[in-house]
Amino acid sequence: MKLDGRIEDFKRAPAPDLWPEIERREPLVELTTAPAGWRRLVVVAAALAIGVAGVTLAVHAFSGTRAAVQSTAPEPTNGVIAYAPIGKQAEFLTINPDGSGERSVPVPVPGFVGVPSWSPDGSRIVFAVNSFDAQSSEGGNWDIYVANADGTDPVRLTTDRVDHSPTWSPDGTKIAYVYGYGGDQQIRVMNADGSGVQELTSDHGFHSSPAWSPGGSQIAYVAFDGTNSNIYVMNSDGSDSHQVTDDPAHEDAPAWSPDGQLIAFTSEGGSRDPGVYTMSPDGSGVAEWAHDPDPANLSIAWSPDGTEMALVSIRGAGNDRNVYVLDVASHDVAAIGRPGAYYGVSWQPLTGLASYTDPSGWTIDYPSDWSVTPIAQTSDGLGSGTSISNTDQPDAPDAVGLTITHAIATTPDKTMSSTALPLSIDNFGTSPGGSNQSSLDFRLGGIRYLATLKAGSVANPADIAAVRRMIASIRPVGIAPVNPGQFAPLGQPCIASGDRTSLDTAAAGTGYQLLVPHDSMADAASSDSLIGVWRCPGDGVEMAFASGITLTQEANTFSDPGKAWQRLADEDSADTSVGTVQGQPAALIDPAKSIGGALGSVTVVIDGTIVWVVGTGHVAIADLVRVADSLQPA
Amino acid sequence: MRPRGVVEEVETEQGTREAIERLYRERGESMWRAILGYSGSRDVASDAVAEAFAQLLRRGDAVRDPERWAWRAAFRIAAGNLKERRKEGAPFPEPSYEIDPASMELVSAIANLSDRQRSAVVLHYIADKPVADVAAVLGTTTGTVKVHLSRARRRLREELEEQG
Repeated sequence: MKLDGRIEDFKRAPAPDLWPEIERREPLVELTTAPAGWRRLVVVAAALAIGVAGVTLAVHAFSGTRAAVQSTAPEPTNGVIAYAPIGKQAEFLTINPDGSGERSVPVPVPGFVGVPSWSPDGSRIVFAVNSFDAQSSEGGNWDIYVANADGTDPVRLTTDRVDHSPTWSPDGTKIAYVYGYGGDQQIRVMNADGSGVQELTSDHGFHSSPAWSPGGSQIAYVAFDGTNSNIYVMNSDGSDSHQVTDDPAHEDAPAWSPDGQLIAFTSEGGSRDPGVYTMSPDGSGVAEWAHDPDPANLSIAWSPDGTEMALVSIRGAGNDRNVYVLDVASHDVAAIGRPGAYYGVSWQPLTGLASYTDPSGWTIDYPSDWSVTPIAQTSDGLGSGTSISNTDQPDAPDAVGLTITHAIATTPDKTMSSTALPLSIDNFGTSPGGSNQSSLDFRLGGIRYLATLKAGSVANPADIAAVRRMIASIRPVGIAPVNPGQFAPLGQPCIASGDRTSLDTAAAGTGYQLLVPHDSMADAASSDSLIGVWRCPGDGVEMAFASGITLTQEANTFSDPGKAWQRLADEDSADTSVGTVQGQPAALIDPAKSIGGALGSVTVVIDGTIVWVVGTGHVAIADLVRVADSLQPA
Repeated sequence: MRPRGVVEEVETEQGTREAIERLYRERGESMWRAILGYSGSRDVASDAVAEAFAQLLRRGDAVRDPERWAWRAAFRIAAGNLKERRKEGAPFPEPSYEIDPASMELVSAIANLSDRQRSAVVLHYIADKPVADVAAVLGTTTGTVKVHLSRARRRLREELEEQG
């Protein structure tokens, strides 16, 4: 049989229809949808559902030589990366910088979401929406919307036919964007609420990709002169526009580094290799950072801390269009998403966190919409303290669920980033009998925290909307529960040597806390859960509780002759059902130090060290606070 | 080249998708047969063509010449698969009941050609691509393609027509 005949036969061989398989392989869709309840959360956050019945101040506050409680606004940290999946209605995508946590964030808008841009505090996001309005002969109507970070409550800011590519100013008050279509596109700026629109570029032509300098005084953008595109920089009022790249290559997608020293951009064609480049804002020092033989770099976003860049690009072995992260130090590029038709990328800054430094050296950072307010004088008269409150909506129903976002806990040897979130709330309880102490007991990572809440007057405890909740203190109280209710106290020895015997001076000391399980406090009728010997693994100190314990200011003594804490007496029975008293009890009750009359305070001297026991009403011991080890003898 | 804006990007994305499906409808079967001829395996052909078009969809309008790109990708993927399969000891070509005996003979004969000759033959004779297009896909010159084709054709004739 002739060759040509065979070939003609072969060309008639039936072939399978592969299109369904092709569409199946194009991985765009299988994103996990946000879990229920995510609506309220700002990125990785947890709602602390607080049902406050009655809350009063319970600040563990010390004056004098105690380590200062510090409130600082730390540098921005890296949140999630947002990007736009082209062709997908009413959603944008977010992913953690390590490639985990990819999720679709639904946005109730009538069209495709374009290039996103986070607000400087990371709580909101602005983007253009293409409604593909059938009325428009241009095939679509682009308007700019701003929404919460979780995609909720989108608000339309512009109504002109084509407004797109918005980007938030560093101070959060303005949004720069592109107005126009085709060959005539201008950079505009408006207030963050959509008012006060001004046009910054005016010459006829194509202007795009506005990018604010970190200080907000300048805007870089791209101008296309009909044959070539270059990067320009102008003042943020539109004055002093000047060209900073002058190369036959096509520069695009400028992105200013957080320290203001560099502008990253993409370059293709001309004499340069295609890739991601950086330069000084004056155009000098052009350096290639991420070469790829056949790339198409579409978008660049620096990480808020300046150590990485997110790219939407087509590169790598698979030649896939994807979200990539470029490491600034090594210039290594790694894909973090799943390949898909993405466009635009913005890296969420987590900023404005209030930072609370615990006397024991712990630091906890809180979201920017809370405030940290030094309390000049706590009601217990012991000195100053700190309250952290949600100032955003202190009295609104929403504030019932205090939302802790991006909490970062730092110890001298460990930092837990917000990836350790969400917080899990073990318990929220109020002590009974009108003692009005409320606490949140939650874990962040392996660490257990106690948040002590304060509230103003609460006429009706059930009216939680009227409760102005304040967190008086949040303290890490233990790590890695050994068994329920027993936490090792932060790796420090439970008791250090000391010789103080006076509560007054002891109160000026620093200390750590050993928490008796808070959930037992919630159960007012029974403190059975406290029964047992509580051991501090650090140095073998134990604390014991017998059944029927009712800690009052008079009836309890503790002794620790053998560094074994034992509860020695019950108020009613005076029994010593746990352990044996050895040595001389050296407990000291000081009613004057009880807080607001609600808390019983007991001081215990063990081996010359004063330990302050804070009890709540008739319920239980709330804290064992070592306070004296740093003091000099009186 | 004008910078890409998101406006154009989204709108072209829609059009690009339709264009890619059109391209598959017009050229997909031919490409599948060509890759079958190249690889001697229906599985390899199906996987290579599906993957090439799926990647094309992902790249969207960033690909300037989608057809050429798809061809290159399909050959690249098929070549990779083929290498794997031969490492695992799979026969080349793979016998299949779904391929008629005459075609199987053709595929077997093509399999005896060098990689470049196979690529050129299937592109030119099975997919009916002009020599210039074959050269573009293979990243070589038309002269080289012509040499490959004439040598390949001679060998195929010898093998197939001598057998009768």
